[in-house]
Amino acid sequence: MNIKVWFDKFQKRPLKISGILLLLIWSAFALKSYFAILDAQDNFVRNTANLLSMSLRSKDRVISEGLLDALLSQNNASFAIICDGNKQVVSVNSIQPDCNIKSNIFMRQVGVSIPGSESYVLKTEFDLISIMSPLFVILGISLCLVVIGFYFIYSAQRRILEDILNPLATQLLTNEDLKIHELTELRVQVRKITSLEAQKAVVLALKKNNLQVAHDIRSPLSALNMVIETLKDQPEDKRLLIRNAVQRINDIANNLLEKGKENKNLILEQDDRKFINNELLTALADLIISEKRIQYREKANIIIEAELNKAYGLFGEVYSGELKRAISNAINNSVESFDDNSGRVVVTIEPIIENYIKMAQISIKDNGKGIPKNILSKIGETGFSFGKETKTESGSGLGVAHAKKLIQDLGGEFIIESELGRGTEVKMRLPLAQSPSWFLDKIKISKTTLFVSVDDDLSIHQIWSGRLKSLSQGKEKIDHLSFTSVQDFKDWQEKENPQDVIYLIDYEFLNQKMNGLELIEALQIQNKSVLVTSRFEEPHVKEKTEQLGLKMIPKTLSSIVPIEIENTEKYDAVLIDDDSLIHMTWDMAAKMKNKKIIKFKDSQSFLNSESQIDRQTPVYIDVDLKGESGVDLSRKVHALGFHHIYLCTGYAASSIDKPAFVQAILGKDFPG
Amino acid sequence: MNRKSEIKELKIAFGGYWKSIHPGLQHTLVGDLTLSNQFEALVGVNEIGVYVPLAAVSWEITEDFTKFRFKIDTTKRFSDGSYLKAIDFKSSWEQSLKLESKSANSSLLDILYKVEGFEKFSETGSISGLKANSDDVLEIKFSSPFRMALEHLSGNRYSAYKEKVGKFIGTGAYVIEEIGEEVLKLKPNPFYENSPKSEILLTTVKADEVINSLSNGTLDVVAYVMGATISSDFNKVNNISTIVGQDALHRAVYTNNQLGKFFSNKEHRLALQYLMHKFIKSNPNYLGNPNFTKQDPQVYLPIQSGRLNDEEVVKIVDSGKKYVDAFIKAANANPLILMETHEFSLRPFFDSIGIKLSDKSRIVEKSELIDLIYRGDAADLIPGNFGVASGDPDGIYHKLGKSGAIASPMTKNKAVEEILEEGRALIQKEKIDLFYQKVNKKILEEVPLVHLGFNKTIALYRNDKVSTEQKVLRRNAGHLFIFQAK
Repeated sequence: MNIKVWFDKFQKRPLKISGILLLLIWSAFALKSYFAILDAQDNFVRNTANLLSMSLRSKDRVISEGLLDALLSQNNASFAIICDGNKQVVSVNSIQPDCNIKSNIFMRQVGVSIPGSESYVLKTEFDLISIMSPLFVILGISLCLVVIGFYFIYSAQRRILEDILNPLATQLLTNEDLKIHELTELRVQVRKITSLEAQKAVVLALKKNNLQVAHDIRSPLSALNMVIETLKDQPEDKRLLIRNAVQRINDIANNLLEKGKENKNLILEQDDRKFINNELLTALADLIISEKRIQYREKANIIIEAELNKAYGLFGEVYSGELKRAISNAINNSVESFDDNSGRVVVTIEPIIENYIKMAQISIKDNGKGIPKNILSKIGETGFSFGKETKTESGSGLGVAHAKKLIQDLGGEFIIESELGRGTEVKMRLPLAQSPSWFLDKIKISKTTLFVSVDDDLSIHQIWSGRLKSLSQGKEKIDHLSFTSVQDFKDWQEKENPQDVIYLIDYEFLNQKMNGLELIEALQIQNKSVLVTSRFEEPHVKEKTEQLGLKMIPKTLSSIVPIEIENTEKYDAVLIDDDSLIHMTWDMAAKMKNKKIIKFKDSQSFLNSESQIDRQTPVYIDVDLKGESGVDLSRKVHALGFHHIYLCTGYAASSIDKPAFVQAILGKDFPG
Repeated sequence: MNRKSEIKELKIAFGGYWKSIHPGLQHTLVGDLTLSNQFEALVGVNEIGVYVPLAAVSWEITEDFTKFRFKIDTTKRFSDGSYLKAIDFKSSWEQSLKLESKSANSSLLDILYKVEGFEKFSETGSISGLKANSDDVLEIKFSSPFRMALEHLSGNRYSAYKEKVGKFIGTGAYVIEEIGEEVLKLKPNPFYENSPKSEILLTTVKADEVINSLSNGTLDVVAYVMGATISSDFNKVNNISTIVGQDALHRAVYTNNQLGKFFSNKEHRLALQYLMHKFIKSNPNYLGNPNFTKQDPQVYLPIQSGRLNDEEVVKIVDSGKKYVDAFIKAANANPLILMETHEFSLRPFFDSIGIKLSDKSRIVEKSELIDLIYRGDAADLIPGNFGVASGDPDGIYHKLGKSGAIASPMTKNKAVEEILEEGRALIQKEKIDLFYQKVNKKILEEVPLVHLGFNKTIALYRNDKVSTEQKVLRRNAGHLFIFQAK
């Protein structure tokens, strides 16, 4: 919008509309007034004629003339005449010798017969212009105001152009004084902002570059991690060298990733407790471990290790900043427990079942000097600090107390176990959160499934290849196809279109026409595809993934994502009972009813085989198992994902408190 | 800024000469108009013809119209600052009666002769029926009913005045000072309520100089000029505006009816009346600008009590036809002496009927003409004008009554005087119209003067210099403060 258009839209147009409205209102008012005045004039003439009728009857010339005077003086009449035919009988203010006076557009004549006289007529002439003149004055003033308004608008428009915008065009880029204080201020502000924008652009470019490098490192790193596991036949020192080198690369990648996050500082400055998120604990811990390694890299004998292989798919509803701080503090405490600046800290994340509830445990274990028993019980109390000479920021005693409160607030458990001279282990147990809808818990395939990976990074293909190879050791081989070119994959897919297939597709393809999501959508293969990307946290990726009904695997976890070759079987019932007679009874009944059942005599034998049993299978558990409680076992079974659980007893059902997840308490007869 | 610098001066002229500016000696219409600016009568007449307080705030009249009691407005002040009292009226009127009259009768006589005790005035110098009961009560007791007394008392000659160092002062809007021949200075009376803002230099102007005087700025206003004498050329001058007045002047030819004079013969008068109206009818512009004057043999205006229907009047006027030949023969045998002003001449009429006038006939100035009319011995014929009185038909008494204030010896007629005197005794309103129709008829038959018609007065003013709210000039109202300098 230029200045003229702005003035047209916001100044002239409203004024024009106001002017037109004013004219319309005036016209209506003028018409109403005009006819009201005409009516008043007619009435006054009629009333005067009536009064004249009386004065004429009494032959009172003076009163008659007075009535004409009154008519003349009160109504803008130019003359008043009593006529007898064409002859003037009495005239007031007339310069005409007779009654033969014609109307014109400016003068209005009214003639009224005088009652009671045979031929007398009262004639009056009204000056319409003088009647309407006040209205014309109002109109004139109003139009003048509108004209003045337009003048000021045009003037303002011209002055703004001449005095402000035109000089501005030439002066803005120089240091010449702009004459207008506000504009000078504005120039200073604009220059500041421009400078900041330029700096920001540089920072953003750097961050983007960091992200790209981190991303590019991740895939080969995952491959290396996997390879390390296969180097068991190598000497210890070589394996340690390779492992340390890989860890170092991983730390650099994580560091770059953190620096690349645009809002990192912003988040850290905010109140951590404001944001509770469903976090992938592996990713969260991996970042903080890398940070710690960088922090202590000058202390060559301090080793910080991560054991995250069992942590795949562990999500927790946590304040990410605070949890990082808690892990960080725990690692710091471990490092501080080393007397000679040498020692080992192992951070492990793994699932545990605690009180029949599946939880995630983050363990920070060191081989430091340990904590005396009398001290151990006090650790975690606010203000109590151990092993610090001075009360620095990290030695105020608030760290452990804070971490403890945090974990407890999240519904978890904070445990410190220590043995003097051998080391300390901090266990942070957190309730597991349901994994997000986009997250793939495990890759399920059958023995005949074709495994297709699409990624422009060759190392990822090698990871998948290695994973499949290790799975098929001693068994049938699983077919694996890999594509680095989107176009090649597209051509192949459109030609072959296999049915028993799983596609593991990267999101970002460098220098290629489309990304993974677009590729999946274009080929309409979303029901057979998984997106494997390190950009899984980006909102637009998540949104599109959910929109397509896809699942994702964080690329860094591709080396640990469980791959399951489906081998479960469906049964009509699972029986866990220590009574052989009951087993026989159920076998016979199942045979008769052509039902397929599987039987166990104790919990251990069941747990050894549970992975091969379909989770939809009803599980019938004897309440009185030998040496253990059937009710306790039912909780474990439920935690394993079985939902159709029945407790069986030879006693009355009412004698047992039924847990909520148990469908019913039955007798020991074969069901249905 | 001092007050003097705020006062502007207006240059105003009347169309005639006021003659005397003494209330008791006033005997012309212009004189009456002039005096209204300095003096105030007991009552005034408003724009719709109703009597309103002026010097008197209220009045009481007995049912038989013999006693009039006025409550005087004692808050009014003369121009010397003194307050008005009832006694001022008594002393003013009695003093005026002692002055030498300018007309045939004293100006005040037409009312005061009817006041009780008037007959002893010459002996006592006082009228017993005229009493100041207190500072604010004036009582007038008439010897016989006098229904139109209030109307006559509205005339300015019945104002109260005081003599101060040889000058007469009143309670009106201005103080009049004579500063030259036919030149008056009107200064605002500082004690007058809403004292005027302008001073006035009042002069006279001849009819044929009116438009030029206004155009060239010599005058700002010409007030109360006889409309008949003004051409309609003023319409062509952009900055001249007009106020048209009421029918304010009778147009007449005074015939000398005294014994031994030519027109002592009533038949000659009837012949002249017939011939003149016949001549005017065939020469519509003869009386002057037809917009402001019209022919009318009757002395009463249309819709005025006493007015006769036209047919009857024509019949009476036409009755003079049979004396025409004798009149012309006699007039040629005894050439008539005609005295007239340059504004209106009878010569075209006499030429048209072949009558030669006496060599003694001549054109005179207006002021001399008035003197000739009141002297009554110098001419056989004088065309002249006199003011139209207000509504009551007794108004003609001024001119034709036995004790009429402006009566001329030339036009005295016993029959007319007697019937007018009889009319003055009437107090029943319903009888007035019919009675004065008889008076009207008597005048037409006796022809004490030949009534030619009526004339409107007009005022012309420079609208670029002067403003006024006035739309109509009322007869007998000469207030000049209606004009304001812009």
